[in-house]
Amino acid sequence: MGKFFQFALMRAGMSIFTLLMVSLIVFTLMELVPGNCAERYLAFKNTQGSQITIADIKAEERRLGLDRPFMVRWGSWVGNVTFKGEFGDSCILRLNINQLLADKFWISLALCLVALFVAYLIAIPIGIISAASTNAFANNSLRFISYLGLALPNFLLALIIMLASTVWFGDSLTGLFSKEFRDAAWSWAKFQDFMSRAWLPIFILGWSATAFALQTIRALMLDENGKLYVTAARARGLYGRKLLWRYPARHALGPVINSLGFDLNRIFNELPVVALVLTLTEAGALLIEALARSNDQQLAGAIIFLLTASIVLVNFVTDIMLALMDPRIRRGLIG
Amino acid sequence: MTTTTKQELADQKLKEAYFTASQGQLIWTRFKSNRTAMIAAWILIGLILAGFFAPFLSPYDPTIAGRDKEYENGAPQIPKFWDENGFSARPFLYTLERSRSIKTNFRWVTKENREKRRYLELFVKGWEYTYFKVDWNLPGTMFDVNLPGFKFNTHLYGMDVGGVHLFGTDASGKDILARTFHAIYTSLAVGTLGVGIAFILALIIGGVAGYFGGWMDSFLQMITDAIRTVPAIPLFMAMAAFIPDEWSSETRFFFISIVLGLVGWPTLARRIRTHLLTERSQEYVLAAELSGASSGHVIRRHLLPSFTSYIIVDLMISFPYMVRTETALSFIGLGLKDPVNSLGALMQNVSKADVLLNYQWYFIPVLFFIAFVLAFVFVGDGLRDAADPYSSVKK
Amino acid sequence: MTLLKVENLTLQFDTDEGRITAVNNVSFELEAGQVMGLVGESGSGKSVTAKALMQLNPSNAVYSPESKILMELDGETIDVLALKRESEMQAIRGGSVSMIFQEPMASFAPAITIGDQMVEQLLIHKDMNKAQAKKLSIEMLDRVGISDASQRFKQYAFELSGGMRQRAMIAMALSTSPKLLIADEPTTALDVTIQAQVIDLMKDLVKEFNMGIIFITHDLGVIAQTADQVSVMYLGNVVESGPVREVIRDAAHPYTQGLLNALPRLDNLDAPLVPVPGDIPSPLERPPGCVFHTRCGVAEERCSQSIPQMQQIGKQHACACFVEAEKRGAK
Repeated sequence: MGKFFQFALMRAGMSIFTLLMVSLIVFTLMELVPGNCAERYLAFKNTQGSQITIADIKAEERRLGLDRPFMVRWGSWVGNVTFKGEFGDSCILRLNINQLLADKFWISLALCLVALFVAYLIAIPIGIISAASTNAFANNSLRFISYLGLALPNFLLALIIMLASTVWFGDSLTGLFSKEFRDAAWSWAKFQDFMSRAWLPIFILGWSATAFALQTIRALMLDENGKLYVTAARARGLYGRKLLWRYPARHALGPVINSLGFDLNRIFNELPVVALVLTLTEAGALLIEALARSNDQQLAGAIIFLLTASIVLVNFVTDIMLALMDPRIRRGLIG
Repeated sequence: MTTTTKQELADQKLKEAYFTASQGQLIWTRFKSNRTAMIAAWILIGLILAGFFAPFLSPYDPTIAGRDKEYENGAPQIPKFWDENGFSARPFLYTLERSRSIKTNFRWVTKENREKRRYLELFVKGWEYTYFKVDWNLPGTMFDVNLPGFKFNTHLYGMDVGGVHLFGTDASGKDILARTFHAIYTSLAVGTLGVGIAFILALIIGGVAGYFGGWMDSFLQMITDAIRTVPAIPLFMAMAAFIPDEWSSETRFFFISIVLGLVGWPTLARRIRTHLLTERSQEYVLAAELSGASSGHVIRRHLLPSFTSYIIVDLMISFPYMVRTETALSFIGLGLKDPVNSLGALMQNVSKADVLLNYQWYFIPVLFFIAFVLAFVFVGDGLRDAADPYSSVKK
Repeated sequence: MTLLKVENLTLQFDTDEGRITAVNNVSFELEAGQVMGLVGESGSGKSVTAKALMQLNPSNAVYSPESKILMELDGETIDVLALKRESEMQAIRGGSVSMIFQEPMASFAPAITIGDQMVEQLLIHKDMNKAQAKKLSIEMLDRVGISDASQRFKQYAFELSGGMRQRAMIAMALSTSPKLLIADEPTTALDVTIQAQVIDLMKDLVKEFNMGIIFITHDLGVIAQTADQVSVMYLGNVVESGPVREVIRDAAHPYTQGLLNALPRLDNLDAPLVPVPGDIPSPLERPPGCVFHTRCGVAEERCSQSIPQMQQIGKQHACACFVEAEKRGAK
């Protein structure tokens, strides 16, 4: 058990290192945006009619701590994020990022995780069955659908569904809430309304992840089905579902779990563009808002960092799960 | 044994050819027997040619300079060979007459005059275009390159009078066919540049990690994995957002390609590292090293050739993702902008509901995009299957 | 008592390149308590023949209508190829017939303990509860010479050594007390010293359980030690069969002679090894006439035109060769 703890600790250490690396990348990007927060803020004030001098900018920089060296500022950013969970203020909106994001980030994460879950819920059984089936037509059409999933970007699919529903049903199906609930506090009715609209983004976000997962699972199953231990199990009298689930499926599970992190990454990739098309009001849309419209580096950095952190967390959890599942690793750790 | 006949000799040759075939030849032989992939390859070649010869194939300038004021939001025009007035060996269109009067509430109304035929002509002279013209105006004067290139003004087809728009026109009267083909060219160029940059980075980083192994490998792997964890498109967006508005469209184009390359290398680097690590422990490498070959020599002469074909396959597979990403970026307005024609920018046109009702031909570029990416994915997959027939597992 | 009778077994695979004949008109018989060896190079169709006995070949396998595999089990004759559903095959697979594979590592599922796989098989075929099955499994592991059997029962294949894994495989195969054991190159992947132990173990077990064994190998040396009868296969055809001593002392078919000449001799270490010239042809291009004529030293005109049939050249010794059969005066 001690060894297992050590293993988990080591993995956690690696995850933290990854996060540090990511924070460095993100922070550097934030810094590379021309102009800093002080200039931005004061330039804004300038438009309001007040006269700004270089000295004012310097004073503001000092106030925001922007005069400190890069590494120090990075350290304090990381420290604030890790120990206080504080991402600071948005440059443009002059609002606390935590308040800005709060609900929106959780809604995005929930949408993506549900999409991931649905993708695997569809892909696992279909992938397993299609690998075992010899029906050429079914297999080819499945192949074609998953290729289409790879080739047809989610935003295009979102666009097509949206246009079609506007034309034929008169409702664009966009947004996450109906008008009357947009600013209301969470309640059962709001939740119901949310669910009645959330299925479309979930479907669209999950679409290409499903296609990818389907291909991965099918390929893995074909690989396992061809292995000798499956023939050996058949030679011992196992057949049908019992054979399928206990032997090839059980052994293909490891790599499938391993691919969860990658697929979450894939879904996050689609999030901003899909958000834009469906005019969602969550973190993805906020990211576009932050980048495209206002160059709000603090907000953008926070969102990218949070998305990546979720992936790192998922990778950590799947690593531990894999270790527990694979007897080779488990034996080495627990005995 | 009886005497060897000519037939047997030929068979022998064939067998020898098989056993001594290079990796590339084997991959090609296997690829040829994959029908779907071959069809996709032909489509892809067609699209690439269409992209490369876009200026020749399109009778009108794809930018605002080539707009047809008389035919805005116009439907595709398909030249005919005959109508109720008789047959013509030369395909023709009718003359469109625009008029407004009190009868039409003073709105412009277009009517086709079936009596007045306009005829299609081949190899017409039209707007001027150049090939191999280089006019880089990158930030910093030392990167500026100027080459005049070659000027042409012949186009495959055109009309004796007026315009012909096979795919119709958009709201400002720009020819959609011209825009689509030019956009394919742009996508190809962005993809090639992006893949090229990613490949060079991957070759250096993956190569160092895979060849030297040890702590160097662990360290580089950690960095590669960290970058791989960051969702690429949000990262692209963050980087693309730096582009100052005053940059020219060419500079923008280069910057976007570089960003694509900068964010796209980790997956390739990982593959190169794995290839190298496997080959590295092979005995022929040991043999070369024992004969006193330097690391550089071993890498160049032994290791790289051992998996060039696999790398080409990997590059092929990563290409459509680059194109997809560029399209997504341009679609949300963070990527390429006018006057550079990009498939993403063309797709912005279809995001309105009335397009589906009234201007369905706006979807033609979308179809081209899907065909383009799908063909690439199929060819890439076919190549992968051909390169590695025993494993179909991705990643 | 005849345990197994294979008649005119012809098996083809449907592939992209066309139909490939893997086994061509193979017939043999096996008595209870006897070991029958199937010898041949890789690609000779011996493994495919063995798998056919339990219909374990992939779904693109096509059996010719004349093919017959008959098993005499508990006074009942079972036509194996007539079994169409997997549920009907269950009685044979792992029950009356067990199989041991070449690579013991690959034939155990990597993430299931050896004990679990043994118990699972016993629960399918024997009327036992889990506790009884576990007890029997541990007994069997002990019986094949695995020390600390109750501990090994809980382990995974990767935790055992090569020889131990093959013993465990044998224990598993025998736990259901089958009538017929098919051993597909059971000793090829093992060290020579362990090979001998495993062969001895199998010989003992045959006596004790009175089973029939089909022993597949490319190693004539191993066959000489273990088998009673032997059939030599080449490119899907049986080219020679007979009692093992007779075949080895007085090999009739040029191919068998070639195989024997290719063996190193301990009595004369300086004698050069004589390989069989050429390569085994691809099954896609089966030679016309005698399948061996392309590599045969004594081939004549007729060998490339008509197919030689098996002809009796001794009491039980038969051979499919025009030249040798004539020389020996076929009966």
